[in-house]
Amino acid sequence: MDTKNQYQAEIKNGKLVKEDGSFFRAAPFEVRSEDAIYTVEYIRDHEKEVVYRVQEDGKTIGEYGHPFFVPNEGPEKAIEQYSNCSALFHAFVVLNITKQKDFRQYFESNSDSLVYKISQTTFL
Amino acid sequence: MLRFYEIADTIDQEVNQFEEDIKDFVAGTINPIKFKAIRVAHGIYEQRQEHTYMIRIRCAAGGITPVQLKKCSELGEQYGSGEVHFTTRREVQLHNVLIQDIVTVIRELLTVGLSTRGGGGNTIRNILTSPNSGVDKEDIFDVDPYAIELTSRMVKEPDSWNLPRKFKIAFSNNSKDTAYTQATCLGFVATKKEDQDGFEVYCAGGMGAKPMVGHLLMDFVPAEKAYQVTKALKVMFDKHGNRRSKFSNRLKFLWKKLQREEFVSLFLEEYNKISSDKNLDLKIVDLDNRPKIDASVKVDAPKDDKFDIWKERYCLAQKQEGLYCIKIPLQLGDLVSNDGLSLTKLVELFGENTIRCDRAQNIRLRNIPEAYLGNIYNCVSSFERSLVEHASFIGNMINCTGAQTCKLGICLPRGLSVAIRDKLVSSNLDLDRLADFRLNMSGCPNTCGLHHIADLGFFGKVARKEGQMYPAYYVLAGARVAAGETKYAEKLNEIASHHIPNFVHDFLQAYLINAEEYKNYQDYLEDEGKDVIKSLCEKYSNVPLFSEDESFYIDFGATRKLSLDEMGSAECSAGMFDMIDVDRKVIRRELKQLDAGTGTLEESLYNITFSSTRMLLVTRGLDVKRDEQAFQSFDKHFVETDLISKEFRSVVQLGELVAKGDLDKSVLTGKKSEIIGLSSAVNELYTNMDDSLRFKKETVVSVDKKEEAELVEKDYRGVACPMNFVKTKLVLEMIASGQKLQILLDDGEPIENVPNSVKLEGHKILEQIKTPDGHWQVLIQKK
Repeated sequence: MDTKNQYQAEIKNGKLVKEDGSFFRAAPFEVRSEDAIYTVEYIRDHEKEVVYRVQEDGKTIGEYGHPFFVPNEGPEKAIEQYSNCSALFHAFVVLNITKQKDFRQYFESNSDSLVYKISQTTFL
Repeated sequence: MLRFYEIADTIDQEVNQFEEDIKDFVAGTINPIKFKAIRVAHGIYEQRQEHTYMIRIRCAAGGITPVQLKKCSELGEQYGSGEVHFTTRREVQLHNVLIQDIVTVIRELLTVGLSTRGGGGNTIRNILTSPNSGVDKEDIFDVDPYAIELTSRMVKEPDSWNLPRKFKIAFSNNSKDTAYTQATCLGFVATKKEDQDGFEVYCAGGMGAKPMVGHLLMDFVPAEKAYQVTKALKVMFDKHGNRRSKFSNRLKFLWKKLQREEFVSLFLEEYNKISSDKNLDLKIVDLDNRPKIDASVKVDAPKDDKFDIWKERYCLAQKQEGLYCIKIPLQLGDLVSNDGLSLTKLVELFGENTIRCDRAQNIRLRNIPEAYLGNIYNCVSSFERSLVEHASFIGNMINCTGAQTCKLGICLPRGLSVAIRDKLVSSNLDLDRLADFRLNMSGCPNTCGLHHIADLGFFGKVARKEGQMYPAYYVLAGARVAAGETKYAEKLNEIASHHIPNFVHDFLQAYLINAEEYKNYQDYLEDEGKDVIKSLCEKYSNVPLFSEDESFYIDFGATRKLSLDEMGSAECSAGMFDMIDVDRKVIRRELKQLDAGTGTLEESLYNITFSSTRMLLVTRGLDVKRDEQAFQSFDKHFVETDLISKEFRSVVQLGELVAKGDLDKSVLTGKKSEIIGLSSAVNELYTNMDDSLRFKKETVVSVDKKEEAELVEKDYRGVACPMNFVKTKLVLEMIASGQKLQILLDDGEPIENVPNSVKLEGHKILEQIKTPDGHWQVLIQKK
């Protein structure tokens, strides 16, 4: 792994096939699939609550707060609503950011085609 | 410039080290449990939302200057939740701080003389006083300067940071004991003897899940000797306190173990060594409580006609003629940053000694000339979240943050407090007749909401109906607080959270109807109040089925059904690291002495040898009772296994012979370099330890050598925390993924902690059954 990154992971067919370094959940990271690049930051929102903010092409597509850090509407609707971003929410499950059971169960049978990479640059 | 304590010269170095520790934690080279032990001593707590932190700021005697509070408000706005939170320990906290901002906040606080050091951990905590000390007409004398001077000394003494457990100190200005000295580790109550200022001294009190009322230690000690008393008790606690169990190592447990005679004798042994040393006497600088106001400051007329009732409820004439102290009731202890900025801008006109935090999570102003009360009223009644329109009873209600942010919380007392407030203010109860009533709530058995010293108190619990969990509270009543007469509230019954607002209303109504027939609340309670509580609990005992009313199962202020999934009571691993830390610190201290040429050479060398051999035994599940066992166990588990080079075997064996008394410690003087080498080797091994308690040099046990039985059974009855957890963890390391381990644990701390710690390590608890003989059988499935 290069010195710029503190964590890198590769997911193929929904399975974590390569992992290197240490992922820190409160630091920014990037989820890169063939279709999109999502940047995720752990920040305070305008109400001073701490949330994960997800951006695609510099545009915020969602902010997810405690305790589950995923959209409330459940996996199917969320994925449909947010530009078919399966890789993003799958990454949230893989990285243990969300413990929401519906999302975990959903991806147990809906992740076979997912191919993407996660990277986190050195934070501090 | 007024400061409520001095900060140790070593602080910059400590903050720099902490900054490095944070970087290591983020990079994954320090695990979360080790990091926890480091951060809590800096007053940094992780909130229920992981990676979101609370910063606790020391305010000795509850004092904070306008400039300091302004800085806290600014930092709260920039780096936190937009608020400054006032606590029941008379200090302030910033919430929702992100890890990358922690050190910036700490350094900014230092610029105005505020420190977070010792906000948590096994340290001398914030030293409390009576909230109106110095301005109270009933002062025996002002005790604030004693708390200030004592804090300044304590934070500079290295042994204040590594005690067996947290150590709390309080000073009361008279026998009404408004600082609750009998509910704390060490308490001083101002008194006079033949015109000499002095203290009655109480010790070994404490609340928490196992509350104990403090005992009289000395009936009079000259006031300036408060330092020697504190120092002696601290040294005695350091020497004799129980470091092995995090859950029974407060000073109160030492009293219980030793009983009065031995406890007092050990204390006096230390006290008599230093009591006559006048150089140690506290040098008190009186706080100035005289009016300070620029004559050009305009006197404002009150903005509305509610001023008079506000003045009656919240303003109290000081003993200094013409000056007032004012209580500012805060909603749930929160001061919105903008309100903090407007308040401090106004209050700084009246001097630096103008603000105190109080234990009901409110602000107390002091030294305000009567003519300017309108200015204050106009300011506080414009607060974004103001309670000034309500009777003071409302602002006096105490609640901890509960499960909203605290990892130990079960219920949400903040939500409950709001629900009670809404119920009461919409009723026709005359709450002004209850101005001094203490209605205190905690979200769990820990006592952050001071339920043990409540007139009517509650603490959170989980209740179940047909298997579904719902939020509930135990009901307590009847605490009495006065020096030498303190009695904790009695647990009377339990009640569902959602019934409490009606319950409180009905109880207070019953009390107010009958109050005039009694001398005081305690008499009412004894005569009929307890029966009223019991009958109201009966009246409100109905709990709907989950299918009938789901909302009953969702706590006040929560958005989903009660759950304990995020609770973090797992202290076992932290306890293990605490044990390691005890020896690490001894080694560091003794190495420094060797460098400086201070101390006794042979004594230092023995201590280094002993601590080096004992330090890592806990990782093998070993707890030694005698010194020589440490050397023997170390040889067997670390030298024999080649984790530590055999070149150190000779010093280990020498240590054992010294421990047995067969050789004098002086034999170690010729082995200095080997002993230092041994300590380095042990430290290096520790640095390389992974989360599974394995060292890099260790061979990983292959799967086929693992315990092959389908179900592995272990009996840890009689094994204390955290050793039972360490042993469990070691067995889990040996078995295959998915395999099951059944352990037997004692009731009490073991069953409260081990399963949670195991869960936090990622394993599953499949079953937890109480056996007929009172032990617990826990079935674990390895992750």
